[in-house]
Formats: sequence, structure tokens, C-alpha cells
Amino acid sequence: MSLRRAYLRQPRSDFAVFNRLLEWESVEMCHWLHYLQMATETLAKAVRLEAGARPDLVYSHIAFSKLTSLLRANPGLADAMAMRRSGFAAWLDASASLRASIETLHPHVARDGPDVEYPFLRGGGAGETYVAPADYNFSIGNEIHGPNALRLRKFVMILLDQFDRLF
Amino acid sequence: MSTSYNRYGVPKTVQHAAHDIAAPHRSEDAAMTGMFGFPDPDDREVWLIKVTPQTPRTGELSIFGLRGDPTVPFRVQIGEITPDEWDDLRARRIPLPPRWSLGTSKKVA
Repeated sequence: MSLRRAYLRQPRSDFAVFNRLLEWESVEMCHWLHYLQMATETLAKAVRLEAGARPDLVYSHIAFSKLTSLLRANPGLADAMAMRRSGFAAWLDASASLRASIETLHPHVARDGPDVEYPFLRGGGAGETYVAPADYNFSIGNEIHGPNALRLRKFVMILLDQFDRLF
Repeated sequence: MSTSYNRYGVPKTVQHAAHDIAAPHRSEDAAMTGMFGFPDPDDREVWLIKVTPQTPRTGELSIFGLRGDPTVPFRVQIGEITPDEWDDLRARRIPLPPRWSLGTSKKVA
């Protein structure tokens, strides 16, 4: 399998697991967010590889937010997705903070903030305490019923399903 | 106090949950032409289709599931299609999921 194919295979699997976890009762929020973060990061890297990025440039975990410029530079993508160009551009703008929030779920990007993998410190002074991701209510998780999250799920699904046709 | 919401503002009924989910879609997607609710015969889940020209056209209805959570204590199934696809769906050219009925659907936003 080529590196390109492998970078497409993995987010397809991650996204499928994300969708299953999101429907599974009693799974902590950090788990489905973790799979969403992984799926979108690796998908973004697949797109960057397709656009000619050197393989050694795709190891950064800051990938999903950088996808915007590549997508914006390819207005034909909206046509290929049978999507209005105005709607495509509007969605890229409207979902920017959501995509950045997904990216910062990775521990290397979150830095001192909450991430979905490792315990982190919250509070200050005498109230400072470690919190396990499994016990944390990530604010982005509460956006999952909203319009940007719904469009994101459909958008990622289409990019993964139709990658070879779109890129 | 409303009998439709608990003291924390959490909807007690599937119908009220559907309206609560639809509200931000209406306010944040000015182009949306409608959000339609499909009553679950068992009255346990929220089933919704959003119609907006801003979404990609795929020629099919993809449904995304969500388990219940503290703010929406019902399982949700929701899809998003274009107005053209909505017409195709109403003409039975795009199928609905099993047990979803156009006859009982209602516009909720």
C-alpha cells in the first residue's frame, strides 16, 4: 500500500469508529472526540500529500485547520461536491473555530489546556487538581448538535468516500 | 414551571428536544428552508431532516446518529439535504430510513 493510500485508509477507519462511539451510550466524550481528532488530522494529511506536500512535512499535529487554505484554493471542489461555492466558502469560515477546537484536542497542540488523552491540571492555587479526560466536559462536545458539526460530519464523510474523485 | 422542561431547562419530550435542536440551525443558517421532524412511532428518538441549499448534494440521505446527553436526553438521528433532494425525497426518489414517514412529518423550524 502506498503512503497516500495508507493516509486515506486510516481516517476512514477512525471516522467510522467515531460515528459508532457517538451513538454508543455511556462512552465518555473524550473517546469519540479523540477519534474525530485523529480522523480529521489524518484526512487533512492525506489531502496535503495529494497536493504535493513532502511526506516528512505531514507529521505535525496541526493539520486540520491548515486544510482551509488548500480547500479555499480549489473552488472546483465545491462544484465537484455539488455544493454552492458561496455555501462552501461560508462553511469554511463558519466552521473555522470548530476545526481549530478539534485540532487542539491533541495533547501536543493543547499544551497546558485539556486534551483527550492524558490527565491535565485544572483550577488554581489550593483548588488545583488533576482531571482525567474521561471526566471532563469538553466544550466542543456540546456543539455536536449544532449546524457546523452536522455539516462537518457530512463534509468529512464525502471527502473520505469520494477522495479519489475529488482530488 | 413548564411541564415540558425540567428545572435545568432540559426537554422532557422528544418533540421539545426536536425544537431545541432545530433552533440554532435556524438562527445560524439563514439559507435553511426548513427543518422537518419525523415522529418516532416509539416516541423515544428525535428524527430530523434539515433542508438547506448550502449543503453538498449527494443524491441520497445520509443520517448521522447521536446518543442522548445531559442537554438532549434522547437519541437523535439527523440528516441534511438540499431543497432539490427534499423534492426527490417527497417524490420517493430518495428513500427515507425504515419507519420514517412523510405522512406524519412536521416542520419544526
